[in-house]
Amino acid sequence: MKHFFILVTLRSTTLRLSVVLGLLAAILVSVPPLRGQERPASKATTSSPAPKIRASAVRVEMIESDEIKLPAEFQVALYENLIQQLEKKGDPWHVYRNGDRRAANLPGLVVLHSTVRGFKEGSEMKREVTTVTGATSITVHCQFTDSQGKVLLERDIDGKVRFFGANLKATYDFAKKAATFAHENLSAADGI
Amino acid sequence: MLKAIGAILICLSTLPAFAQSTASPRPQAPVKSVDLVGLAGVKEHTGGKLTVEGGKLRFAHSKSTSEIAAITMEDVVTGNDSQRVVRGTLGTLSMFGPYGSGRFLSLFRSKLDTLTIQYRDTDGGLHGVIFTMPVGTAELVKQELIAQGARSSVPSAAEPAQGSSKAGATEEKR
Repeated sequence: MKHFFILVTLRSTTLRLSVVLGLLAAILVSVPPLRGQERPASKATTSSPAPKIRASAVRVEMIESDEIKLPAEFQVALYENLIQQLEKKGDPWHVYRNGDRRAANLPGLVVLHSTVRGFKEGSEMKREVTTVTGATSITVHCQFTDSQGKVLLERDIDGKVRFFGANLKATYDFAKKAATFAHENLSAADGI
Repeated sequence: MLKAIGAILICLSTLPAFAQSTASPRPQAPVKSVDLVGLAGVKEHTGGKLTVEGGKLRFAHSKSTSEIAAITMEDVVTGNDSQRVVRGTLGTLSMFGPYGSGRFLSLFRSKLDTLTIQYRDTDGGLHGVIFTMPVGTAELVKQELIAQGARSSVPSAAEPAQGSSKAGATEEKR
C-alpha cells in the first residue's frame, strides 16, 4: 500500500513536469518569429535616421484658423505656449516672434506656420464630474518652411485635455508636442 | 429781463451735459485679474490688479508692474469662461473626497470674463496676453483701451455701462 502511494505521487509529479515543459516549449516556439519581425524594424530605424533640417533661427508665425472658428484666447494661448516651449527645449537656435524685424534677412531661418485643422471645445465641468466626457481637442497642421516659403517639413499635431485642467491646457499639450517635433527634426546650423 | 434770465438758465442747464460729453473717460478703478499666459516676465496664473491710465495697461502684482502701451495693441477681444468655486490646493484635495463629493463640488462654478490682447513689441514681434477677471469688467477695460488708442477686430457693445459683459462676449463668439 505504501509503495502504491509513492508510485502515484511520482507519476503525478512527472505529469506536472511534462505539462510545465510542454508549456515552456510552446512559449519558446512562439517567441522567435516575433523577435525576427522586430529586428529588421529596429535595424531600419537605427541605420537610416531622417536627415535633420539645419536651422539658425526659428520664426513662429501667428496661428491661423481660416476654416475653423477658434476663440481668440485659444489662438493666443497656442501661439504663446508654442514660443515658450520652443525656448524651453534649450536648442541653440533663437526663437523669433511673428513680425520681428531682427529675423528679416537671417540666413538659415526656418519659419513655422501653424493652421488649425480641428477644434472641439469641451467642458471642464463635464470632465470633472463625469471623467469620460467633455474632452477638449485641437489639431494643428504645422509646416516648417524656409524664408522663401519652400516646405521643409510638415505634420498634424494635436493637443488634448481629457481629465483635469482648463480647456486652455490643450494648447499647452499641443505646444509641448510641437516643440519636441521641432527638437527631433531640426539641428543647429554651422556658426551658431 | 425775463428772456435774459431764461437764456442764462438754459445755458446753465446744458453745461453739465456738455461737460460730460467732452470730459476724458475717468480713470478706472483697479480690476482684480489673473494673467493666464503671455505677459513677459510674469509667471503664469499670477494674480494682480489691472488698470488703464496714461495710455497704458498696467498689471501690478506682488513683485513688479508690467505695462503695455494701448497704441501697440492690435486686437483686444473679450470672452467668458467659468472656474471651480473651490480651487487651489483645497480644490485638488477635494477631488479625492469620498462618495464623489469632489465631483459634486465641481458643479459649483463662478463665471469670469477673459480679456485677450495682441500687441507688438519695439522690434515688431507679436505678443499675446490673456487675463481673466470678474464678470462685467472685461468689456469696460476694453472700452477704456480702445478710447486710448487700442484696436479691436470685434466691435464692442454700444453701451458698455448698460450692456453686460456676458452679452458682449456672446456677441463676439458668434
